Amino acid sequence: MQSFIPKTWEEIPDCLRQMTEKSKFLGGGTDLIIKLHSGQLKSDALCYLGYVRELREIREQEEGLSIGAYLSMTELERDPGIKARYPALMQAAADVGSVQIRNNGTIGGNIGNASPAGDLLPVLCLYEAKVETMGPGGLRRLPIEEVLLSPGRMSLSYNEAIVRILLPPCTMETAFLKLGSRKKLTISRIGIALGAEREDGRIRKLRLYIGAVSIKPLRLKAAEELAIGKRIGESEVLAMAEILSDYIREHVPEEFDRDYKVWAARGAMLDIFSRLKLISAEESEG
Amino acid sequence: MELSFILNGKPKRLDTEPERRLIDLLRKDLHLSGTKEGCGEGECGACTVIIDGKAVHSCLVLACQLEGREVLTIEGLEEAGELSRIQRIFVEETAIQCGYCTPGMIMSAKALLMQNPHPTEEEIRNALAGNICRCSGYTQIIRAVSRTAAEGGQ
Repeated sequence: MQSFIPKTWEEIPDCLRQMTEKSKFLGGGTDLIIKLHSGQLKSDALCYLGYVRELREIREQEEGLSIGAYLSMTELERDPGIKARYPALMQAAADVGSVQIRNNGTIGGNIGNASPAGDLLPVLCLYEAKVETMGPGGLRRLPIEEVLLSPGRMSLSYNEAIVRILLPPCTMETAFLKLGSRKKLTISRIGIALGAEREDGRIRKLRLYIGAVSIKPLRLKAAEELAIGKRIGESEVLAMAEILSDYIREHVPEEFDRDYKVWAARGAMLDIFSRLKLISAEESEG
Repeated sequence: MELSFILNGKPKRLDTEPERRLIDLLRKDLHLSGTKEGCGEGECGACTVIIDGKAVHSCLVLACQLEGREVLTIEGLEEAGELSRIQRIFVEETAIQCGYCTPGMIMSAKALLMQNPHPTEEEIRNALAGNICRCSGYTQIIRAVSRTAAEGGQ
């Protein structure tokens, strides 16, 4: 197998030009290596960009926080800027797999793998992340939701590398909750990314993305609309949970834990709204 | 491809394939069979080694990712032909039965203690959550790691 291993930013375009449709980008490799080794996936060349300094940096920019595609889950989890301003991203990174997987798995790989259960994906949608790519023709930026198509598929070309992820400034309070079959090392069965802005106790803005219930993160717009302008009580959260349960009942195939997810949506929604202390004691006035 | 990296403190240079897995490099090419392969999918933790101070699965790292990096395996722990403190305490606490998970368990524990010399029990459990022992020796393993920390580390 061939390999393209640029050591500097300037060397990347030349590597990209040599890739074919059968070539693969290697991130941390926590998913790709399993598929290569088992023979499930055939590749003629690997392109690994992990030695390029710019792809391993987190930088403050005027337009937001720029995260190199090769930052590991552990590095995301420990970054003080992410913890302070994008806490849902920190929480999602901290919930991925085991210590060994978090030390190896990268944010770029989580996007490139495009798994329906990819832990970071609902959070990146919540923050309206932009994915910066480099192709033979240069750099471009795309909204994360346009990059993700379906399981394992992205809208990017085979020779277009994810180089950075840009998070615009966030004015919402945010949180992420993952429901798996056990506490540690679990594959997400429901992931919820929630963001809210309040004014005088009422919800001014709400964004709600659900992972692992669809081929890509699902924005629960009907639930968002239900909350706008209101003080949220338990009954509002349960009404929003009902919207999620209805979606799961209609769209998730039975063998993907449908019945469990329908039932678990209530508890998961109550948990994440409580985590942001969004539920007021008095009932809402609607 | 030509690969240069540090293995157990010594520079290593070899000719290999970019898609060669680290576990195969260690076990088959360099005859360091202390590192075990369990599942080959990053679930069991048996193949854990330390790269640049962090615990990772050697079954999920390829040769092309290793250039210039520092790899530590279970063979790198001995000190002048003797077991290191953490290895000796694993033996003394019977934190070992069939032994297959042990190298990975010790490398995960070692990586934790390198970063956090005085971990709480919760932190130890978290660090070892990716290492499976089917002889059910977790209680002894956690005790061995706590004692290693209490006696001055690794």
